Amino acid sequence: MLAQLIMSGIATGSLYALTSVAIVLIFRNTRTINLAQGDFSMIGAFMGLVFLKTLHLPFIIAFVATIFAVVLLAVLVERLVMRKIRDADWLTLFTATLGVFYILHGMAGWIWGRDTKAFPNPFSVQPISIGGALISKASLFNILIVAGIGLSLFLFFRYTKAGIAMRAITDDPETARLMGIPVQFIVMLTWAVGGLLAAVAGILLAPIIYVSPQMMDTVLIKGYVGAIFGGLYSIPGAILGSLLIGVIENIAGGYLGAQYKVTIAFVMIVLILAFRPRGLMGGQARREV
Amino acid sequence: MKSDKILLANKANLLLAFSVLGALLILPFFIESFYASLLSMAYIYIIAAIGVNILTGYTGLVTVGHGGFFAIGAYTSALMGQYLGTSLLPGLFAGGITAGIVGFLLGFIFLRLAGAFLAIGTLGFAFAIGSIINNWPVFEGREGITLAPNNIFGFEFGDVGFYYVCLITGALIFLFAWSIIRSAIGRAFMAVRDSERASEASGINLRLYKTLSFAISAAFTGVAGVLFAHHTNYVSSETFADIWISVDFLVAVVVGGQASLAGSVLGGAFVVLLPYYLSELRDFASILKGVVLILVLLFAPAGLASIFQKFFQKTVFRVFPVKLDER
Repeated sequence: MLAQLIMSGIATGSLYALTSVAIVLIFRNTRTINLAQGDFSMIGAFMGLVFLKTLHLPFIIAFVATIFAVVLLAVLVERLVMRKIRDADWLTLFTATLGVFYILHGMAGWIWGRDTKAFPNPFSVQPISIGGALISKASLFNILIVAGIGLSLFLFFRYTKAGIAMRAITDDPETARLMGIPVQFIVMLTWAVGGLLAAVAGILLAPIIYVSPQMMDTVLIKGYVGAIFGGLYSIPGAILGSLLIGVIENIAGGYLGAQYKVTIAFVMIVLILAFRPRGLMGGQARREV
Repeated sequence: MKSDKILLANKANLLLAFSVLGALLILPFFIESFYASLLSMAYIYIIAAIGVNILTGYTGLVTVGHGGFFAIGAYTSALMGQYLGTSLLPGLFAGGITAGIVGFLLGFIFLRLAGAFLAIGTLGFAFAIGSIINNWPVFEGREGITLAPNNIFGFEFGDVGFYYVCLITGALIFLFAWSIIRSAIGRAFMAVRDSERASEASGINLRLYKTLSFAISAAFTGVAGVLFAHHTNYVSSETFADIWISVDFLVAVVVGGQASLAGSVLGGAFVVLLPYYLSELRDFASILKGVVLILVLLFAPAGLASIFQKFFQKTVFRVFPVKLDER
């Protein structure tokens, strides 16, 4: 029972990780708590539905097309809204993403309606056994995809010029600018990576939680909890936090009842924040915030 | 000379406040009772926005969780009505006090948090309150609790009577908030907002004033919650488990103007009246709300109140030459 709960907890936690890593990435480079992150995924899920069901594209092509669409959306948000207020205090930045949240929610409800829609699962849900615990092939694929993304992000930040520039901006935007790093472009790239992660999260979550304008609302909160683990700063911390919350809420749901999942998420936030105000793995001192 | 001008400016503000209040007092004689009910809802959001503004605008602690205190106020009065048979007036006091105590405790727990961390923590608080209301049998979940018809000392009243209750409570809360802000407490709040270190060095007890600000703002929002419960005479987790109430309060503060009570009035009215006038087109209302929010942030970062202030400076105060910003 416990091994089973842990296993499926890791499966859901890995999907939360996509959201929380994007939250951390965008926050540490732009000081923006992105409330629209969940909506990027939601729009992605709807786009995926359009590509798969209306246009009857094969899954891989639909997947790539969705990623392009959401990345474009994220870049547009950066260009049209966030760039204009980039020097404002963080509450202004936060409320601006809230404005984007309202717009995207409203547009999705307007175009596609508010009722939930099923999403075709590309992978078989046939369970396979790993060390005594059963896990569906779909969940296994999800974990593998997320792990692959984590690895590519690691390589991106370690070896590519853009990745290193992104880390430089995280550490000190002013010095980075003086060193000739195109801060403006890198910030746009950050939002693009956020959009990419959101698209993947949207498509992978859609078969599990169904597609609706409010599908990502609770996932977003759990993404924040994961991000808090890393002090809104550390990507490994955010991934670990997301896996932990997936596992813990699953265990709590298994033993106490499914309705306590959200309560557990809150208890975790309070415990972490009350004792480690900068998160469990976020030791770095930051000048803002 | 300068102090004369300040006095005159204060008098002008006072005159404005009283004329608005007077106009609102006689308004129900000219409108249908349905609109009185709608305006009551606006007053409720204004009270909550004033509460949030004390914490976020004046003390600089951003909260995305005041829907939790709103729910605490509403359910305190609803449960008291159900089990003790009390009516609106005791509910108002008890709801405000309960929310204030919970606010004090939450402020104490979150004492070391600031900025984005505090925002996420309070968001979690709102979510947890929603989840408790949904799952704890006492709160009746989605079934909800129906309240007795509104009465004060046994006198029942309808929409128009309730309009006056909301208006008077709102005016009192406004006055209360105004006097807190003008007092040493309010100045301490603003000092904490502007620089924690400098205020601590000047002998301001950070723990005390942060938790106090949390408690006062939670109590105001709790009072708004009580009025909300009595507005429809029904509470259920359907409305209160929704964290977007909390977000609406923050929107009211930011759109109206941070650290401005007049701003809270404008912002609270904005979040209630805009969706109403577009209620036929719920999704369109959401889009428009987002667009207006972004436009305000882009073009009037100090909120709607600043636009009005500029307008007044150009019109009224051109006749009575007073410079408001000399204070």
